[in-house]
Amino acid sequence: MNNTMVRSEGLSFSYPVYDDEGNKQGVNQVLKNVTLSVQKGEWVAILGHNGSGKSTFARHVNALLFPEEGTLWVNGIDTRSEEQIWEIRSSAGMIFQNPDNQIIASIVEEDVAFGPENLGVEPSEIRSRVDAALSTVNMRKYADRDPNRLSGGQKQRVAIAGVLAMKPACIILDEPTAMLDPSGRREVMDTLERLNHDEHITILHITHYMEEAARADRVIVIDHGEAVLEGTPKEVFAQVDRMKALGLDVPQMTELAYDLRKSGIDIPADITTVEEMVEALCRLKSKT
Amino acid sequence: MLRDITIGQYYPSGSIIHKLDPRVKIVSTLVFIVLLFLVKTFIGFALAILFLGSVVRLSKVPLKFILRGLKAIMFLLMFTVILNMLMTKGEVWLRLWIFTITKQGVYQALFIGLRLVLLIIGSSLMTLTTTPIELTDGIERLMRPLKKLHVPVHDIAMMMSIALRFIPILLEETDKIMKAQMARGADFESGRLIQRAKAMIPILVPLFLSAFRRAGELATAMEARCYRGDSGRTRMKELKYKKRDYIAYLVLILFAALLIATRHLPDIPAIIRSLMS
Repeated sequence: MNNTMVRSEGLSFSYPVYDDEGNKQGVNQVLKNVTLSVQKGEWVAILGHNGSGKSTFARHVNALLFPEEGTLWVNGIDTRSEEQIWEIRSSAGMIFQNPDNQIIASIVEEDVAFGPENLGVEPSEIRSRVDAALSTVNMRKYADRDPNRLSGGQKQRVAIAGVLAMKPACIILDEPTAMLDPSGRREVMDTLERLNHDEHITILHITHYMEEAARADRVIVIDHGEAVLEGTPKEVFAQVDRMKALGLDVPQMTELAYDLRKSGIDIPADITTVEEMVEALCRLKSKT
Repeated sequence: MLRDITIGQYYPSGSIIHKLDPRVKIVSTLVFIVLLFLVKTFIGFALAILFLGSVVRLSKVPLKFILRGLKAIMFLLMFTVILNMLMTKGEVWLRLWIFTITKQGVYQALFIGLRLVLLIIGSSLMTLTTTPIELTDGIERLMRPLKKLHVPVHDIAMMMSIALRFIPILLEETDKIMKAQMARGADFESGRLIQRAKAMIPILVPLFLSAFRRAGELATAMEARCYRGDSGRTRMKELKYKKRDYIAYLVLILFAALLIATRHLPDIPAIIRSLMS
């Protein structure tokens, strides 16, 4: 049994660029020779600043875009095999940034049912899938509400339930928390953690919040269409200089540790959370 | 302003009328409207009022709430009634300056007024007791036979339900854009009609832009969730007629038969008059 969920080899993609008169001026190379793989059950965060190509990569995984060069396999299927496109899209569900623009129906449960309805699932099976998906994201009691009256975090959880009802093996989230307030962000992140831990769903999380990326198993940094850094969050964030050179931040605590080390205090470089920082500082104090 | 329009609003009360199949309610409303134009006698109107009154009672929607919908068309109603009263020729009852009021005119005005009021109440009762999504489902099912004539029934229903979902979002956005422009000194309230209409252009442009952007994003999201039109699509809630729906159809047929029968009844005031003379 193959354990790879997503594998890309030499993936390249470009948009043509037009000037004001509509003449082709050149090409904007969005992805350059991206080779990476994501294991089943893994939680991978993809980091990169605006225009780095991270969203374009996400759209390839959902077969909304197709590779120009190179190949992308999702659950063992080449995304270019057109007859299996619906299988790819249902096994790799996608969540977008704006929760309003991805909810289709005006009742929560009808929206969650949209995916399985499109797949032609039996009505009774849809019912049980919808109930289960809404319970997983803790939105069961909102089943008959109007999505317009929910908070941003709740809307995004409904969108996640909508993808879950298609029984995906993998969920791709394209900056799902960018338009949410801190409490909405926490709701979505806790939901993701539950999905990854309890349901063993592979998560491909595109973000530019470093604190969110720190919760992943692995971080991949994309810059100008190339995968430039890869490793556990600690490994990646410890390279503070490299991250800054790429125009990215590191979690606050990592930055603090970096500054402390620069001033000659002996503290680990791979601290990412407040708890770790407290522990390290206490240990330091007991040593002196 | 938008709050006054009760047509298209939903009033949840969980009554038997709410639970009826949307198809029953759509068909009944259409039949009721057609019947209203066939009624020619007082008895007929009495029957129609009685019928509508009992349906309103069964729906548990407060009468006040339903009558609020009439406010929006009050002007139109008065205008029609008065015009009918003055313009109908016949047996003169009253002559005032250049106006003449005839017997036929009064009857005509009364009937037209009643017809309009019953029509508005009847159709708003349908939307008050049916959620928009049930309504579109009902319309989709009722129009299904048209599919054979290559009418894109499913697409029409999908468009309607998406429009319904985005109306509140776009209203909110209009409000936001207006406030943003008012904060920068835009004036929407003063000036003549043309000036005010011109002031709306800077609102419409960003609104359209964002509507198109939303449409694009929504289409991508639908594609990502495997939407491919009607083919191979199932529904979680298939509409199915229940016993109460058949009973409702039966009641409707009885009502229609009675109402048509009243057309062939002799005119009661005429009988009374002939008895008295």
